[in-house]
Amino acid sequence: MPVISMRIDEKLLKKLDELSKKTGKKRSQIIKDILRKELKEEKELTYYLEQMKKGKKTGNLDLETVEKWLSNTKPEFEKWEEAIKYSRQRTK
Amino acid sequence: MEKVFIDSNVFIIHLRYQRDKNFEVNKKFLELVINGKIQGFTSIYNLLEIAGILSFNLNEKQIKEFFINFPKIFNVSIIFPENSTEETVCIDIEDTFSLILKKMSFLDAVILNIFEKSKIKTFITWNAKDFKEKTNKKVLTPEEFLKSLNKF
Repeated sequence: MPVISMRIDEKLLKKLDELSKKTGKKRSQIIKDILRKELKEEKELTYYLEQMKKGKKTGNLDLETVEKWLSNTKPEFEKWEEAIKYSRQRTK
Repeated sequence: MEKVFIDSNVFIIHLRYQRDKNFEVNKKFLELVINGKIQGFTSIYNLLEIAGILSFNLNEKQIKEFFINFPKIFNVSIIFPENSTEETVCIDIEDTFSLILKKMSFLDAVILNIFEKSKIKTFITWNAKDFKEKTNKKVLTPEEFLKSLNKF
C-alpha cells in the first residue's frame, strides 16, 4: 500500500489527537474516514448535478421541511431587496 | 404550457420574507409552478445565489440537501450555460460584458444572458424595472404575470 506524508499545523494536529483519543481510532484512520466521507459527498453532488442538467427533478426533500428548518431562524437581511443587493453587488 | 424563467427573489420571498407586502401574490404564482400549471425554469446561478442567501440560516448538511433537491421542491428545471459540465459553469464574457455596459451588476448580467439564450420568453422577477430596458424579451413581476392570466 502506498505511503504519503503531509504537513499539518499544530492546532489541527492537536484537534486530530483529541479526536483520536475520544474515538480510539488512529490518526491515519480518522484522516482516511474523513477523505472517504468527502469523496462520497462529492460523488453524490456530481450525481445530482447530472440529474439537474438532464432536467430531472429528483430527491426526497419537500418544501414543508425546508420551511420548518427556516421557521426558527431570522433572515440575515431585513428585506429581500437587501439580500439580493448583497449577492449581486448592486451599488444603486 | 407556458414556460417562465424565475428570478431568485421569487423563491427568497417565499422562503424568508413572509411579511413582505407581495408574499401572498408571490405564493399564488409559485403554487402555479409547483402544481405544474406553468412550467418553471431558473438557472444554476440563481440556485447558487439562493443557497448563498440561505446559508446564513441553514447548516451545511441542510444547504446541501436543499441545493440538490431544489428542482423537486419547486418543480422547476435548472438551466446550465452552454459548454458547462457538472463541475464547472462557463460564462460568455462577450455577451455578459455587453450587458454590463448597459449598467447591469455582474450577476444580473450573467442571469439575463442565460435567460436570453434560452427559448423561454418570459422572465419573472420582482426587480422587473432593472431588467425591462435591458432585454427585448418579456419581463414581468409575478403580479403582472398573474394578471395576464386573469388569476389575480
